[in-house]
Amino acid sequence: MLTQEQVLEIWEGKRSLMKPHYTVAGWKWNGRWIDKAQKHELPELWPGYNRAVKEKEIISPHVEHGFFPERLFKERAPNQSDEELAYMRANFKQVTLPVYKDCQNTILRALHENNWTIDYAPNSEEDSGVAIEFKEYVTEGVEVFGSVLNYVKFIVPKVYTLDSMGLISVLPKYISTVTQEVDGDAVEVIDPDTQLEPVPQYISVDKVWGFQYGKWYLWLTEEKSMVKRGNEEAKEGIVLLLVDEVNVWRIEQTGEKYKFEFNITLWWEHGRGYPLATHLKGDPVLRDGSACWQSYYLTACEPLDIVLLDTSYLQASKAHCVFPHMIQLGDDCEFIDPEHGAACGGSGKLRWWEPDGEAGALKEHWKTCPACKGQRLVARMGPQGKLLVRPGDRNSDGRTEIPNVSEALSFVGPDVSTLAFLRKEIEANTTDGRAILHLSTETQAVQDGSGTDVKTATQSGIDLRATYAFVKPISDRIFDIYYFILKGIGDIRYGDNFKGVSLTRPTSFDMKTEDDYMRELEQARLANLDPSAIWKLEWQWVKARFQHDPEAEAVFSIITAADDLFSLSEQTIQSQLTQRVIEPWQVILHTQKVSIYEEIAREGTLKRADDVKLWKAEMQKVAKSRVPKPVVSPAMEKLQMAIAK
Amino acid sequence: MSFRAFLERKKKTDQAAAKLLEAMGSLQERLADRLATLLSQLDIKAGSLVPGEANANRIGEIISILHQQLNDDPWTEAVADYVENYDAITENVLKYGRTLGRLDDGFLSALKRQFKIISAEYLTSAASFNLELWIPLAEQIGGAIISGAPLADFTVTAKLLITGGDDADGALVGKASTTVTDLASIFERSSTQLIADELEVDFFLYQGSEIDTTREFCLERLGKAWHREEIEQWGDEEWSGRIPETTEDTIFSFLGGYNCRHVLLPLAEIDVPEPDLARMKAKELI
Repeated sequence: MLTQEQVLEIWEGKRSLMKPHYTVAGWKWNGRWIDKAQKHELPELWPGYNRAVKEKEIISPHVEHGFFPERLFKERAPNQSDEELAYMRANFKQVTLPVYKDCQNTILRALHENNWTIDYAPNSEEDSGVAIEFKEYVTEGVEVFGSVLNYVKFIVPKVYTLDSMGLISVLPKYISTVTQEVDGDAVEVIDPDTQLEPVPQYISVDKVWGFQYGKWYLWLTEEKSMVKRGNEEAKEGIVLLLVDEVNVWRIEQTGEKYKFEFNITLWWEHGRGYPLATHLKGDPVLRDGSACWQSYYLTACEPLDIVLLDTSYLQASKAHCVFPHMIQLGDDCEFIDPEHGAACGGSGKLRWWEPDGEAGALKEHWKTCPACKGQRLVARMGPQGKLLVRPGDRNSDGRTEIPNVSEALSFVGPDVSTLAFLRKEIEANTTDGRAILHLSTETQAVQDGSGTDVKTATQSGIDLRATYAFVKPISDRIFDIYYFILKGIGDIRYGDNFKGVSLTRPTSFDMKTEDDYMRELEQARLANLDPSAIWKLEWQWVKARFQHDPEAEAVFSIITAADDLFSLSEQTIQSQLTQRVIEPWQVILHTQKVSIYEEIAREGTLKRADDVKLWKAEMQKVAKSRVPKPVVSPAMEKLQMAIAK
Repeated sequence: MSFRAFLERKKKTDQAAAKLLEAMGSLQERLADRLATLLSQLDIKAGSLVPGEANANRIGEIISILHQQLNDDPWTEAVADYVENYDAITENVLKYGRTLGRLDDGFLSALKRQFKIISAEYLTSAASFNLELWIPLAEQIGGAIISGAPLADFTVTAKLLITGGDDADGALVGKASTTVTDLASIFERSSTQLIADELEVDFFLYQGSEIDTTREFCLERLGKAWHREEIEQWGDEEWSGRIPETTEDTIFSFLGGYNCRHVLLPLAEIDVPEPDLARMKAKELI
C-alpha cells in the first residue's frame, strides 16, 4: 500500500516529465503537434513506454477497422507528396483484417463452453445467497455487455492482441455517497445502502503513465476536470487514477489550465490487498532491464505490413495504368474565332490585334484555342462518332493511294506483368502471415490423385497440434483475465463475504472442424479401423456439426445410442445380415432411426428428456414392428413343401 | 418290383437332372438379360461406361440384384421339381428293396430329407456360384468401368460369361451339371447301400443305362453281379473320373465317380448269374 507521500512522489515524477509537452491546446513534442492516433515519441514514462505504444500502432491497421498506417506509407515513400499520401489514405483498404478475424475465431473456439467450467459457489456450505447474487450480477448485470463472459469474449481477445502493455481494471464506475455528520462535521461517505457495480475496463497503453507490477498502476482517464482558461471555466482538465493494493487515488487537474497543477485525493479505500488492475500481458521481453510484454501478433505484422503496402500500390497502379489508352489520328485544329476572326491553324492559340488607344497602334491579344484546348490537334471523329480518314494523295499516274485505315486508331495497354508479380507477392505474404498465426491455408494440401487438392488427416492433425500449442497460452491468459475480473467484482461487491469462484480452464480443447473430422472418418473407414474407433470419430463429427444446436445434438445422442450398428459400414452390415449375426430389425433401426424417433416423439410416448435406455427400448420395439413379413411365392411354397415331404 | 422294373423307373428319375439343367439354362438367359438392363442404367457417356466412383459404387448393387434372380419363380419351381425327384428315387428303392425283405424306411427318409435340403440350398444360394460367376462378373464389370469400355461390346462379353454362348454351357450349368447329376445318383446309391446293409445282402448287380460317356471302369463291370468284398476292393483302385474321397466304404455311393449314373442293386444270391458266382467262388468270397 502506498502512503500519500509516496503517491505524491510518483505523481511529481510523471508530472515533471509531461509538463514540458503540455500546452493549453494539446500535447507537443519538439515543437510539433503529436497526432492523437499516434502518440509516440512522448517522454519515456516507464521503460519501454514508447516502444509499446509504437507496437500497438504497428498492429492496429491489421486489427482495428478504420486505422490508416501513415507511418508505413511515409517510411516506404518518404518523397511522396501530400496529395499522393492523401490519395493513398482515401483509397486505403484494410485487406489484412480477415486474417485477424480468422485468428480471433480460432482463439474463440478455445473459449467454447464445452471446454471449461465455472462454479459460482465452490464452497457450497458457505453463504450461497452471495453466490447466487454474484452469479446473477456477472451473468446479467454488467453494464453494456450484460455478462463478464461477453466482455471477455468480445473485448479481451482483441485488446490482448492489440495491446499487451494495456491494462484491464475492475472498478465501480461511480460510487454513491451520502453526507453524514461525523464529530459535528458533514462528511461524505460511501452510501451503505447502495451496492457497488464494478465493471471491467480496458486502458490503452498510451494512457498508462506508470506502474509497478502487482503494486500500483497509474493511468489517464477519459474524464475531464474543471480548469480555468483565462476568465472562463472549462471542463478540459485531465484526470488520472492511481490504484494500489488498498486505495484508489484521484489525481485531478485544477486551477489555470496552462499551469498543469493537480489535486490528489483518496477516492476510494477498496482494501482488497491487491491492485484492481492488471496488464493484458503477452510474450515477455526485456526493455532497459525491465520486463515488458509483447503481442503474439507482432511477428505476423511483418509480412502483413507488406501486404497492406503492396495492395495499396497495386490499387493505385490499376487506376493509373492498367486500362488501355486510345491513340488516334488527329488533324491540325482549324478553329476560327468568330468574334475576332483569329484562326488556330494548329498552333493551339488564337492571336489577334486590336487598336490600343493611340491612333494607329495595335495591341496583340491571344488566348488558348477553345476547340483544341491548346493541343493543336483535333480528332477526326465524324458526327456519328466514326473516325474519318482522309483518302491518300493522287499519284503521278493518276491513281489515289488508299491509306491503311487500321493504323488510324489503336489502343495501347501497359505490360501487366509487374502487377501480376505484385499480386503474387501479396498472396505469398498473406500466406506467410497466416502461417505464423497457424491459420490453415489452401496451399497446405496434397493431391489426391483425382486432381483435387485435399488436406490429409495427417497433415490436418499436425496443423492442429501446432495451432493448439499456439492458442493454449493465449487461452490461458484470457482465462487469467476472466478470473481476475470475476474475483475483482466479487471482492468489491461482497468483501470478506465473497468466498471465491472456481474456474476450470481448458486443458485440451477441440480445434477441429466438422471437415477435419470428416477427413479423419474417411481415412478410418478406408483403413478398416475398429468400429469403436469409427464410432468415436462419428460422434465427434456430430458434436462439431451440431455444437450450436443443442436440441439436435440431444436427438442425435438418443438415436445413436439406440442404433447398435451405428459405426458399421454398409458392407459389414450386409455381410452380417447374410450370416444372421444381426437381425433384420436391427438393420431397419439403423436405416430408419430418424423416422422411428420422430414417430415416438410425435405420439408422445416419450419425451426428449427421458432416459436414453427407455428411448432405446422403445425404438427397438418400433423397429421390430416394422420388419416386413416375408412374402412366400407359390413357387417357394412348393419348394418348401417338397423339402418337407 | 424286379430289377428290370426298377431300371425302367430309374430312367425317369434320371431325367430329373436333365430337366433341371435345362431350366438352369433358361435361368442363365434371364440373368444375362437382367444384367444387360442393369448395365444400361450405369452412367454412360457417348456409348461408353463412365469411369468413376458413381459407377464403381454400383457394382455390388448389380451383383446383389442378380443374386435375387436365383429365387425367381421359374427357377424355384424347377428346383422344387428336382427335389421332389428324391421322393421318386426313394420310392423306387424301397419298392425294390422290399422284394428282398422287410425294411424300416426311417433312416432312408432322414437321408432323403438331408439330400433335399442340401440340393435346394445349393441350387438357390448365390454363394454356390461365387467362383464361377459372381466374382468373375464383378471383376469384369469393374474392369469395364475403369477402362471406360463401350457399353454394347461389354454387355455382349458379360452376357457370354453367364450363358456361355454356343460353345460352352454357361457359368451356372458348367458348374452345376456334375453336381446336380451326382447328387441324385449318390443318393440313389446310398439308398441301395442302406437297404443292402439292413437286409445283410452281399451281392450287387452293377446296372444302369449305358451312355456315350460311360467310362471304362463302368463298362467292365456293367451288367455283372459283384460280391461286397469285390466292390470294396475297387475303392483302392485308380481310374479317370474317380471321386477322390472314394474308399472301400464310400465306393458304394461314389461308384464310377463324377457323372456316374450307375447303381449297385442288392441281389439275392439265387439271382446271381452263374458266371459271376463262379468268379466269386474262385476268389473264395463265397
